[in-house]
Amino acid sequence: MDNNTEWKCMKCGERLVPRKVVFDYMGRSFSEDFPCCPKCGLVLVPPEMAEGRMADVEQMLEDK
Amino acid sequence: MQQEQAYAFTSKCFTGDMAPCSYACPFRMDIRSVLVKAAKGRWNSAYREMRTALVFPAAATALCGEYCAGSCLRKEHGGALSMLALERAIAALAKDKTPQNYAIPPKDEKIAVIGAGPAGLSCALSLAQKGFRVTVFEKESDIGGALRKRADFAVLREDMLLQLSVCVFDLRLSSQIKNAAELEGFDAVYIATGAGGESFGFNEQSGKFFPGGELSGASPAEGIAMGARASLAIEQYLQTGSYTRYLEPPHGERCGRYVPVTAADEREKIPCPDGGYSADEAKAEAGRCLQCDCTLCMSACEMLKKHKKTPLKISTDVHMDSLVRPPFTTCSITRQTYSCNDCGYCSSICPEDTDIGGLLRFSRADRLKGGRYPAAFHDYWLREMDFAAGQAAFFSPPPEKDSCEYAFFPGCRLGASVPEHLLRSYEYLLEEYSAGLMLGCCGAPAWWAGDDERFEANIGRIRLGWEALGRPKLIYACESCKKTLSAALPEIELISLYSLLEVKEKAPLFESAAVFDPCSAREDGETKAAVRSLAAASGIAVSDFDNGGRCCGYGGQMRLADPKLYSEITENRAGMAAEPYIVWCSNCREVFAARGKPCAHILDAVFSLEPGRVPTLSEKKENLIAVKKELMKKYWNASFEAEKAPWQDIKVSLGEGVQDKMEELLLSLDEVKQAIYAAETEKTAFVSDSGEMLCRHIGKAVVVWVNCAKRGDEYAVSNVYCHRMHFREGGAEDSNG
Repeated sequence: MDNNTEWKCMKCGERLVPRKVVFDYMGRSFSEDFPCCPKCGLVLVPPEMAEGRMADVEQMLEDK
Repeated sequence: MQQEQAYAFTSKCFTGDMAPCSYACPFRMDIRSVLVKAAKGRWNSAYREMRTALVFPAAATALCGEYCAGSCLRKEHGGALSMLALERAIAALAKDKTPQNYAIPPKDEKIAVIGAGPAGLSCALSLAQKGFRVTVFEKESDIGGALRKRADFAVLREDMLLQLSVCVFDLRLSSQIKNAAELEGFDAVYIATGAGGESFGFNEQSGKFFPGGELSGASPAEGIAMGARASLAIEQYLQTGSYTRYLEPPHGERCGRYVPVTAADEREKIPCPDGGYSADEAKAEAGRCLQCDCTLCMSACEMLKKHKKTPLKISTDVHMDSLVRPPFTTCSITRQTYSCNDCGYCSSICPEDTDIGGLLRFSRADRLKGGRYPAAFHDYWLREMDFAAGQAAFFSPPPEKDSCEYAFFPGCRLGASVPEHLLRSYEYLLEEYSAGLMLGCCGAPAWWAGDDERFEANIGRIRLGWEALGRPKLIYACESCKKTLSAALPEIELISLYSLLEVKEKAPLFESAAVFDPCSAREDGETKAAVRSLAAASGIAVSDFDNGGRCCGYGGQMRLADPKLYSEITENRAGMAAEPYIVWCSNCREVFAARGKPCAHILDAVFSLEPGRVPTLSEKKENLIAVKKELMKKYWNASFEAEKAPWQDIKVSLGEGVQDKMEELLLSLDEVKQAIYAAETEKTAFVSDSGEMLCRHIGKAVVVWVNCAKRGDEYAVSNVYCHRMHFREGGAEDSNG
């Protein structure tokens, strides 16, 4: 997948916009801007986030 | 979790406790620590540590009976350490002997010490350093008590005065106390009037009167040590009205529990010249100290080595984690709790049966009940277990019988890993033993995950099935099944498959090989011997290798909790013997085959099968169903169709590296298809102008993302990734977790 791929919501056909999304893991919550469908709110987690910063935070909490 | 519950697993561990020499020392001096410093030539530092314990180092050394030598584990390895000569050398070599002064605010309580011998002055010094108002009464005209008779008294006196120089107290020489009434103005009294001295009627502690030293039967050296202990008892008495015993040193019951020294060098004791050790000689002699401490488990287990926590510290952390209430407090031992192979090796080598595996499993169960657990670590294995114990399960007496004396319980892995292993074994057992069949799972994955509810439910199903077959003897193929079933269902008689098999055709897979036993067979010498006989009967020259009960790495299903550690352990085990391995556990085989270590299952040798590759996660599930189908059709003339998930028919092709990534992350093809199915049916996915799709499957523990494109009727998957965090979508209240 190209990092610059421009995704559209499959349901609404809308281009995604950054929105604050809350994540939960092991009793902790974090919020961060993620691309979302402006209409239905569907959240997209890009691979570089899942395997980068999110994985780091997961590791950090699991290390505790 | 109660604190006692966490400590019950490790309470007898003595790692970090005092060494035997320290227990033998009246001063309980930390001899290990003093000698570490001396071995490095840090004389000032060694002296300070020595002085803290000995109070009056010159007097204590002069009076020392070198009791430590009798407990020194070097005794059999070049001779006990020359501690007395070392103490003298340290005192001679230390340049800075300035006593330490502590800025402690003065206290109001007044304490009388009767007798200015080493015992009385030891107590007076300790109390005065804490700020108490101390008055020492001595009937003679000088300090020293019984020491004054010694030829070296002048030297000892000088050292005592040096140590006393840092604190302020009232020393009244030529001042004899004749009766206790004279001591009315004092809050506490320490009576150290020497052997046969005046006790004022107080032979034991009574109210504010504390007899001690030689008056209480101590030796002169013990008297000094007792004085320091008595100061603590007096302080406690003044603060609380009660006190701890001070007449005897802290009990030494742990002394002698140190494991035998097996790897000691035989360096001989350095002879001490008349003039004492030189710096180099003292360093060399101090360097002979074995630094006795039990680190057997911590140096043998990769996981314990990595986390560097002693068993008692692990108990403390496990208990603390049970009290955690996120987000206000956080855990401290999560990774380690889930990184244990639960193989019992640490317990097997511990002289005190410390059970860290049991402790961490207990913790996992506690965390699961409290919802404080990383679900992703065990989620895949639990789903796989549910499948093996659900759809893939099949319990039946042998064809055309209602009950049986024997039934085969192959476990969930044998048929999943190599279907032929199960099919050929059952064929043999049916023919030779008229065995019934119990396809299922023993529940080890739930046990490892700490999922007691799931575990008990599964055990209940096995018990019912077993009773329906007429309570047969169970023939097991997996030692983990044996371990689990014998603990949970002790009423079932268990027999190893490998003790019943025989080799019909000699076709050696290897010229020579080492048998790598499963860790759960550590105590099962009979089956270990049976497996070696089978291997030899197939024509393999079996070496005398024994892995000592080590786990291949699979145990505890800790792979996702610490992939690096898993890799380290499996590498270490694969390298234990140079020869190819013969294994008799499907998990061991997969671990070693995946590492490229030449290996074969003993059933390959028995049935002359070519060792196969490791199936993918999805293939294992398919194998379980295929085996069940084949057996039912062949022996019971029955058909079986597995439940079909709505996404099952979705056609998928995996791009380069995707399969390997899925195996590494323990993501199954099923989850990939579910993501695509969600896109097809609910449109919960994303599309690009070029026709690419990004689909997602929100699982209980993991969110799986699938990058694909539809090519005809097939989805070409170019990437799969996942995360364990769950996001809230469509408002804060609507959590997908």
